Amino acid sequence: MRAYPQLLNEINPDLVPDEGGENQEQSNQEQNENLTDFGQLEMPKERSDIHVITIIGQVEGHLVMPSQNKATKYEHIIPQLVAVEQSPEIRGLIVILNTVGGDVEAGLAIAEIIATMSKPTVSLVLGGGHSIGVPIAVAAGRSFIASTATMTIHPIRLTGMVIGVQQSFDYLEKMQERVINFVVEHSKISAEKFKEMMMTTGELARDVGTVVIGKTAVDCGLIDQVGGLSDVMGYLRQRIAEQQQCQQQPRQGQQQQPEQQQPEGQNGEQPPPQQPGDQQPRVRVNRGAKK
Amino acid sequence: MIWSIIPEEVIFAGAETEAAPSQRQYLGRQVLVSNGRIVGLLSTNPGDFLDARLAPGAELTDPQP
Repeated sequence: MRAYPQLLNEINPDLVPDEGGENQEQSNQEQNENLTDFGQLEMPKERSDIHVITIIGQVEGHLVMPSQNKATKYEHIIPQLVAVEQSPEIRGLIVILNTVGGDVEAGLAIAEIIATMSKPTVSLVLGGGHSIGVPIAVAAGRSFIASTATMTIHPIRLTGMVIGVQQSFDYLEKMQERVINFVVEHSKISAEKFKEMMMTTGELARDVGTVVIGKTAVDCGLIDQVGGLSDVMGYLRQRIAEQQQCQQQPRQGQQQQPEQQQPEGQNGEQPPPQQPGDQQPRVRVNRGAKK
Repeated sequence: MIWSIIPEEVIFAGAETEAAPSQRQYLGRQVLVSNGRIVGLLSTNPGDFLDARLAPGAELTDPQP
């Protein structure tokens, strides 16, 4: 072992391993500072090709919620999702939900963006994914729920002064239809079943509705699978690999095309005109993937 | 319109006493700040929204500009 550094030393003195040099001392000092200040060692920095977004507390929309609420701000989440979609370094998205609900339009906006992303997306409901958390959970390409996690499905409410009862009722019904249509389109549950769950009595103390826990959410078709982190990662890695293959195939096809077309040209036949879409690598969109 | 398992009166309790956020320059970006924390990022570059230092809730490293 002793001969190895000596040999390196003769060839290139810079390659001799630094035993207790300045850099090492500085790094040790930083680690000690972290240990005393925060009680933790700094983890090695590693860039992941998977982006994680947590939807926690309330989904904040048009009204700013007071600071005692934990809130997910949709105006920050949406550009973040745009960045995830266009970043060449990020290949997949995990959405982790532990939310009590919130603004209907903000929630639907987040859900629509997730559903129309071309990169593989997975959602995991931990703890709770209630009310507007339901469309966000089903928006991902595949949805997972922890066996102890719950989801509350209940009607949308209107509070405050009502002017024009019929109009308000119709508006409320339209809002509810938007949510129901989205959930039905992106999960295996039927509209009738979802509405029935919304109006069930005897499950909630202060409201009508249904609480589904873990496997029950899968049995009714709302969520795809009961699982945890390893299942989510496994699925996402598989989808990323599939998508990479999918993107490579059209490129290989393009290279082979001139050779295949040559005999047709010799026979005096015109080669078929190329479709404009053929040149583009095909990407799958999650919308309606489960249907 | 709020659709949540938490009643609206609980969500919006104390809303009147909340101070309006102020706008300032931070790490070369315009941010909305309240009580030494970022509450919003004003940017048209989606890449900025992936920076954890500019995410809502992040503590400012230099509280006074």
